[in-house]
Amino acid sequence: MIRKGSKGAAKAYISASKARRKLQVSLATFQKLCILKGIHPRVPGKKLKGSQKTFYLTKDIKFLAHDPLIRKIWELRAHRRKIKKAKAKKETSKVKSLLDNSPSYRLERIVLERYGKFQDALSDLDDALNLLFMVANLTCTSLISSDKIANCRRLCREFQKYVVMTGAVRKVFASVKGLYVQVEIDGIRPVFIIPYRPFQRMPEDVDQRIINSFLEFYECMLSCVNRHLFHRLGYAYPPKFEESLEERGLSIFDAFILESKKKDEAQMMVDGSEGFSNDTEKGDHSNTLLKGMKFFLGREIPVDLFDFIIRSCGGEAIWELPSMPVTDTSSITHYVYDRPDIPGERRLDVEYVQPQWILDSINAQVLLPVSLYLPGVSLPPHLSPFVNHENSSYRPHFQDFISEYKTSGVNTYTERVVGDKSSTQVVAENNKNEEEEEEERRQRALVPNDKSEPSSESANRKLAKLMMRRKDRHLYEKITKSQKEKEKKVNRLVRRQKELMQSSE
Amino acid sequence: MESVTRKNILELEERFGDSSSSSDEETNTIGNVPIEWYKDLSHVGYTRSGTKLLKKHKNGLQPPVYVKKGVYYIYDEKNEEEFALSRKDLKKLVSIVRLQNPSGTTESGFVGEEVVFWTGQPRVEPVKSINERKRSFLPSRYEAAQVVRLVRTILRRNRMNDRKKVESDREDLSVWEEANADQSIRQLHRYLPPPKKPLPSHEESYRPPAEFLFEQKRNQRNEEEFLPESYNFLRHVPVYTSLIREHFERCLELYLAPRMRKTRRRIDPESLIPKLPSPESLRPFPDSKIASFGPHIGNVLSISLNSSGQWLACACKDGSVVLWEVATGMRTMTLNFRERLLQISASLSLPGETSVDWEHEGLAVLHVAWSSKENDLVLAVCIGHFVIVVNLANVLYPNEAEDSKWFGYSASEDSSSKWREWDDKIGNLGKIIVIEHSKKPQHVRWHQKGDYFVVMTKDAFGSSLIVHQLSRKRSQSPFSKSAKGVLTAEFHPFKSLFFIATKHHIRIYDLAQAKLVNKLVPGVSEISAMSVHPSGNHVLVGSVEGHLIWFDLDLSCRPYKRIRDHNYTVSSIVCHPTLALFADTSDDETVAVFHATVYEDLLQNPLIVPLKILKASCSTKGKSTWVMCWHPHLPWLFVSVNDGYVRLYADTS
Repeated sequence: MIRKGSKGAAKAYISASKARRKLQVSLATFQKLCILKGIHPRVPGKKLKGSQKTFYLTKDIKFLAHDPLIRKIWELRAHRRKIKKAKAKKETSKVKSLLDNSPSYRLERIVLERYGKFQDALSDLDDALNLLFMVANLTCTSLISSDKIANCRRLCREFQKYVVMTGAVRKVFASVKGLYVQVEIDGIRPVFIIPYRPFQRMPEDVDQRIINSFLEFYECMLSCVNRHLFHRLGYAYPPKFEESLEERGLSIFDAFILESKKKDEAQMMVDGSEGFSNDTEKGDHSNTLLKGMKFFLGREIPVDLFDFIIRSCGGEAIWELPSMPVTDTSSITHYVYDRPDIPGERRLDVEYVQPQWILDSINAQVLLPVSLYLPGVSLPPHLSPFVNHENSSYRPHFQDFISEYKTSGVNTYTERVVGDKSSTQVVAENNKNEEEEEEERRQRALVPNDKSEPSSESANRKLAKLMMRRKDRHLYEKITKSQKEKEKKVNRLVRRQKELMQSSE
Repeated sequence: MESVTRKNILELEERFGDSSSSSDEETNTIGNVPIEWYKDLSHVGYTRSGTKLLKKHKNGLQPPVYVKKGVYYIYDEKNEEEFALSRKDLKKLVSIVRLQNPSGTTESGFVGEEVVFWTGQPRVEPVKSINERKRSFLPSRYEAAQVVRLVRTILRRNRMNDRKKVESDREDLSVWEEANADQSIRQLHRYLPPPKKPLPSHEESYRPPAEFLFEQKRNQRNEEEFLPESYNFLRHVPVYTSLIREHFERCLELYLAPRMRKTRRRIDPESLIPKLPSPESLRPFPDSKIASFGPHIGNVLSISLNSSGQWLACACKDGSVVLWEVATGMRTMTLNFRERLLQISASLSLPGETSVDWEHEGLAVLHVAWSSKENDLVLAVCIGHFVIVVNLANVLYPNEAEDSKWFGYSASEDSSSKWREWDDKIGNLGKIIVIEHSKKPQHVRWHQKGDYFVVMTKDAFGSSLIVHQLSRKRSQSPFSKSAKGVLTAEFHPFKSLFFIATKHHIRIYDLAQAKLVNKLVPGVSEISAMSVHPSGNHVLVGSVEGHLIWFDLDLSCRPYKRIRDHNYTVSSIVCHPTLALFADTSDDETVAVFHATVYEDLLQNPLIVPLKILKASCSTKGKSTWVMCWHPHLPWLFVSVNDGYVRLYADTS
């Protein structure tokens, strides 16, 4: 006889509180363990008692119970108690020695456990990079120490250095949220956001403990990934970073000192001009879009970001600092300004562009006509490179222009809409109320009208719908509803596009 | 020191050491007054008795110590006395001047070489006379402890350095270096990778195409959704503070959200619609109006077609029944039952109280039903508290006079008091039967053989079912308790089964054995209509929600099919007696016509196909209850709309 609860889903799944009791850890520690080990709740196939609970796989919890990490966690807990006791007894020397000898653990083994292959780690890298770039731009709080932030910054820089060395940047998108960057490593394309500037403060309702736990793992993971990447290129890890060079206002990518991995070769390569050219000679640098160009970045441009992008596409970037004015201006090919006027004298032998030109060119994989991006000129829209318009009836005009430019070299993009925004806005404001009604009318018009003579086909379909099972009907309604919503959105865009075109003409 | 006069010097010298005697014979009593004050005076003070002491030496100043004839004297100015100093006194004086002990001994009391403590010069170290402690000569225990601590610190530091070295050696722990070297590392059981975050679209751009931007009014409407914004310069883009929260929420999702593998199939919604045969292939069925009968005075409350399909009886609100000949569309006759009933009540001396009621209620004919027996022209009419049964064969076919008197039923003697026979002489109807009920009869359902019929009566306190038998003029109420929720009842077409619909269930009784056979549970909030399929194995139930429920009695007591064909209460369902058709109507003023093939084979489920939804444009406002009936052989559907017309729908193609 099979007893109840001894087989099947009841045995295979365990509720969160039960798991915690089994592991003898507090809730916070349990959360941390789950975060570090990547254990996540599951949806039990069969409904179990207590539908509100979260369930874990029993095997996962057993796995966790046998992990060396949990022993360390227990040790840490005991250690904390010892410190507390010694503090209460005012045994300062003991407290000191205890603090010095606190047990520590390393997460490399867990990284290997979670990502058996390097590709697995790469495909899970976007969350890690997102969080690390965010923390690198934070101000330190009570839980996120400055050391941690500095470490994050170092890891991010190292990763960026690798990207610059190999030219792995594929797509760049200047969003309101930050700069989306897509890189390609081993055919896997993680996307991450780099904020434009540091955050001033942390929102209060964000639990920093959880961010801390994730950070702990992601730091280790990115350092492992970076090590692997640098070792693949034949460099030692971690590379030395010359703080003084950065302080002098040089590019952070020049401040790295790369050493060869094998010590016996003993060949030191100061990265910078020679090291970089070495790489390009090797042919590692796959991105040669901006090769041979030297950009002068205006002071209103986020220098680190654009330096990173330009360098990873094969170009060079310089900028001016009050302490270090640029003297050799002859080699500059492009001036990048993000303001309406050009400071100083205008040179005729160089190009003047806005920063969006670089981003759009990278996304189009071709150098777009500079005339559209002159400083002070109203820019064409910045399109997301991650959207595919193949199956959609909506297509932005600028996308059409880019594809035309690529094929036939048409370089006259008439600014159709964005230029005189004010006039369209007036029109729009006049029609504010009417527009809503109109939209509804349009939607109604799209639906086949009941009153008009329906075709026999649609009438038959309508009749057959009466005979649908309830389950099917719900599914059908859900699908058609979502389809209609999508259609509605696209229709709105198409309509607005037409309206704006007419009003601008 | 004792005062020494010149006379007693020698004496004094002998009495050396006697220092106890004080100078009582002090003559000058000026006290501690400076002697200079008397410098210019002739006296130097006063005696005890107050007489002036005159100065002895006029020449004034004398050195304090002087030598006279080899003897040292000390001069006391106050008393003007000379004291001869003995050798011992002198020695004492000398030692005092030298800042030594006046007795001339050393500190320890020994006479000997002097240890000079105070040399007159201030010194750095204070001069102490305390002896050194013992511990100052022993090695310090505190220092020993300090040394131990230092040693330990150094050792610890060394150890820590060693460990750090070990750790830094381990820091080179590189993962993935040896490809698949460590296969033994166990991975998470059935790991489900988290879903990726969706990639940004154009609207997240700092400068999206103009068609993505909303007007300001829209901005205020919904603050939750992401609103695209456009900036002219990249430097104008503000810090996006929600990014921290977005990342945090992603973190929460990663460790808190339960995951499951979901195979997302791309379902074509059209494939979900069941494949049914086209209605065109299932013709004939009524699809359009071909004729209408009317007008009637007042609404038509009930219609019935006799078993041959020739005569259509319409029950009107004014208390009359109108007979139409279907084939010609002629109004054959109008039978005014209200007047007749008044006559009858007068002649039969029915109880007065009921007759009073008639006047009030207007005596509408609530229901009319032809007997379902073949070639029988017996009509049952519900009016007031009475059910009137009339044989119309004489009237409709006056030439065939074989059934001249009462139509074949033996007039039994033991008829109950409720049954009355009455010969209608005026209206040429022949004999009619009037059955009186205590409650108002609502509708009549005939048994297939035309002998029995069941009447549903109803008043404010409940409803009850009464079964009448024509041949024996007998009534019985099989369900003694007045079933409050009884809606309708029906006979099985050929078995001795009886269906009763209450609000929530359908009960099936075996009349021969007098027991409950089956109970159907439609699972709807309230049943509004019921109809038994001519095959007898299927029951159709309409509900208040507007659902039509098909029960297959062979299958289960649960619904086989539930069809949502109406939005409001289903008011009536009728099955075609011979063809595979049925129709139902609802308060939403539509009639749905269905095809329903029922198979003899128990394994094959009935095929139900919706054929047509008929909509009659009805001018009348308010609640309209439609009634329907089928032609016995043809696919003709009669629908009475409450505008006084009965429409005939038929197949036109």
